Amino acid sequence: MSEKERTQVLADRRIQTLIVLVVLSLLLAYTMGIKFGIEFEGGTRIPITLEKRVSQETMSEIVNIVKTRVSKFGLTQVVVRGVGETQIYVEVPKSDSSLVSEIERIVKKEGNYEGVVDGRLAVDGRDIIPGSIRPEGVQVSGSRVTWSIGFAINHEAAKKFSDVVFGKANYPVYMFLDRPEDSFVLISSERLRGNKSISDSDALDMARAAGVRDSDAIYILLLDNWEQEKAAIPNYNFTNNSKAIVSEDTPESVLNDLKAFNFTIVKKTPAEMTPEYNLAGERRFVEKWPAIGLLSAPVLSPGLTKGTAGQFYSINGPATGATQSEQILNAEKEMRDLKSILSGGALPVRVILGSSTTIPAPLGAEFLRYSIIGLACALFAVVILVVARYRHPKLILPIMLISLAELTILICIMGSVGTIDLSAIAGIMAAIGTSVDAQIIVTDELTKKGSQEGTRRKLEKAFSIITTNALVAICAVVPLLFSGLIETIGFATTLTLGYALGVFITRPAYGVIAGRILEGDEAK
Amino acid sequence: MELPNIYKIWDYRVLMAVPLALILISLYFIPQIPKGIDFKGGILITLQTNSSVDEEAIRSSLSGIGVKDVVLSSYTHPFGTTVEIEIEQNQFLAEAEKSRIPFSDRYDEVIDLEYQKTTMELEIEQNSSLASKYEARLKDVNAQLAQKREEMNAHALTILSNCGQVLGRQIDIQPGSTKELQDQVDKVYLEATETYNRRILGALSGSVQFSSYSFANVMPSLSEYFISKVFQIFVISTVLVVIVVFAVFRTFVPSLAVLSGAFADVLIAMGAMGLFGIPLTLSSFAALLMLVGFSLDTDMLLTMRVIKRREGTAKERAYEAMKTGITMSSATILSFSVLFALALITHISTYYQIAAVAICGLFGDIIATWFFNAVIVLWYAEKREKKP
Repeated sequence: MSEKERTQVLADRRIQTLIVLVVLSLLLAYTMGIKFGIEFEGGTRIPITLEKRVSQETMSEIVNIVKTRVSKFGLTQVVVRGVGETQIYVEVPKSDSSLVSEIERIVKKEGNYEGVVDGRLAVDGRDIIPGSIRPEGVQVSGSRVTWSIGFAINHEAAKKFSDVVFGKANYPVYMFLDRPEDSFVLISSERLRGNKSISDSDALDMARAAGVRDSDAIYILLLDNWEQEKAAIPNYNFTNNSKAIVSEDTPESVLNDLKAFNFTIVKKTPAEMTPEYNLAGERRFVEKWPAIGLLSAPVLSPGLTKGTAGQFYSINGPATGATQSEQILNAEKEMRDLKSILSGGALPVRVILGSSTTIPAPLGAEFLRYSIIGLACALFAVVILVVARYRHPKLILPIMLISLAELTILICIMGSVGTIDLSAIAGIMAAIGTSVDAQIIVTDELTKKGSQEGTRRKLEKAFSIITTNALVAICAVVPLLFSGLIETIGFATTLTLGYALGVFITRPAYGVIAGRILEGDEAK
Repeated sequence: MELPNIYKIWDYRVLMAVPLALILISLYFIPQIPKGIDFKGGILITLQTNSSVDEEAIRSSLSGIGVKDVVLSSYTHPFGTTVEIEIEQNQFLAEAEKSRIPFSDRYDEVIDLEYQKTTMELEIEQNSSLASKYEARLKDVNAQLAQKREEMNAHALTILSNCGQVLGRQIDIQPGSTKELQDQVDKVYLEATETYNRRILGALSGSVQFSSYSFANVMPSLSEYFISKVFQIFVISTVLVVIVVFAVFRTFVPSLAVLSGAFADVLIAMGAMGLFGIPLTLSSFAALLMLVGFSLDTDMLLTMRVIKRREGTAKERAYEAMKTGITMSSATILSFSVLFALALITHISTYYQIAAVAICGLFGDIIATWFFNAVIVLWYAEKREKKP
């Protein structure tokens, strides 16, 4: 192409759109990184089968719970995804059998729920009658939105409960899930204040109050006075089994000091270490402190029981949120969370862990290498075929560039937003095929002899065929996309994306370039 | 190389014989399509080993624990040898698994009814005047409870007795609370599954030394789920495609021609699957759907060129379209052949299934479009041309 033609082409909007898209996708891939399936990265896939079919909503709930639990244990690169209605895959990039049993433990665990009132254990998870934990619904009265959840405890526990809560109206029930025993928290005063304008001594008092359960207390040690606290440690009843709950950003020197005492160090994120306070009512208390397993502290209102001998209890509270609809949503979430806590953090549905599949990383890398070579070969081969058929060697470059552009966009988008797994690669291969097919249609139309029509008209004809084709092909494949069949979603997505890209961006761009080349040739 | 214009050579209707024959042959082979593990259920064991593989030894050791239906394949790569063993599901475990979801459903119902019963009884204890008010409801709940509990226990017994068969001992329902029953059922089921897996591994380690293994277990509930999902997808796909094709062409005969061309193509591809033993799995099913798109590509090209264009005669337009169409198909066949070669090198079954179905389907498409669809379209177009 001559210099003039080249500038004309580059100025064309369609070409510019294509270039912009390629650059954007590369940027996307660069910032978000390209994710590969475990078939390429190597790793372990653990299938979790749910005991019963669940709705999409419950499925995403479960996926989130599993994700949170697994990542809490420091397993950061874990992918958890729902498969259909009854399965969840947990994928870890390492191939390690101890890791698998670790995940098994994490997923299956049913934690220990404890309700503590005024320093005494009021109710234990085992006392709750299964099936009795019921969200009682969201109530809207005027501008206030409240949620309420009820549960029942067995006969024997009821007596103990009523003893403990006697006279404690409007006291908080500290709801713990896996409350650590024989431990202390090492925290800075600033973090202990938790962004509230309260005094250090107030914060300390509330924190201490939350940590007492009969004879076991969770002590609070202040990082600010570490030297003094350190010296006072022998005065506590700590043992070799005592746990030090610290933040991840604790200085190394302090950690070494703790290790010298033989404490078990439990690290929590800064967010988990920060307590949340309820300063609204006449009673002020710590409402939430994930670092010690305190997940909620609703106010117990025994006056609202179901009118029976203290076996049925109801917990309620106000919902937060800016608008009423937001409050209602938050209320429902609060009820779900509480139900989960009362159930010992058990998943809404019982699960069975299937046996894991392992792909060794070197094997996966080999698969990837071959797949990429395969893609390149396919692209090369089809381009040669097109050029040989239409005998316009000048078309080699445009076809290659356009197909390459399309491939780049496809891979970048799939890799950063989705995952590149085996079925995605197969889909990309198919997309190469369809891309070239469409280019053939355009080239064919443009090289037709004996036609008096202008380039534009020819291109229009070609595009109408291409567009209709794409539409029908997408219709055939789209149901796969929404089916939830993980095995084939990569395939369906790349195909659909490929078709769509073709219709809107790459084909028109190719049409512009090819049109100019062939026009130029004809004119000579 | 110039292809002759087949439409001008003879009475082109004769060409129909080829696709019709192919379709008949395909219909014969379709029942022979092997079902992949996704739809058949079963256990797929993958072993990595660095030593040699004696297939006979593996088969006989598996047959020793009662596993007869074994599909074995092994392939070597730079890091050793991978052995894939596909066996059928243990019939007892399969029976037990089928009862798990019904058991769980009944369990939930029983727990709910028990709660209702306890609530009412407690309230009556406090306030005896409520006894008469609750009498009818209590009777009803008790009746339902008895029935649901019986059903639940029946399912529990199925699970326990089948698991017992695997574990080699008789297992009965242990007396206790409903929750304890659930715990027992879960524990026994897990034990039975793990025991059976260990048994398989034990048999295998006797005949091959492996460094790592993995199990993929497709239980009946999962394969049933896949089958019903796939059927659903197929129906929705078909409906969508039919609607769009009719919307584009707006005339009956050409739309029908295009659709029947696509349908014929899929049939021929499935016949090839039966003939060459390409298994029907989720991947090959996806490839069949993709074929619909490819097939419609060429069908549409043909139909639009012949019917909606005016230059030359219908036969000439059909011929030109055929040349373009065959180029398109060749290009796609070429790219899938590369995928196929890739599959042979890496032994990745996903690649193999998709590539094989695509290649067979594309060859079938050439026949279906240019020998079947073209005849119908040409007939229609020439009929229209004759009209004043």
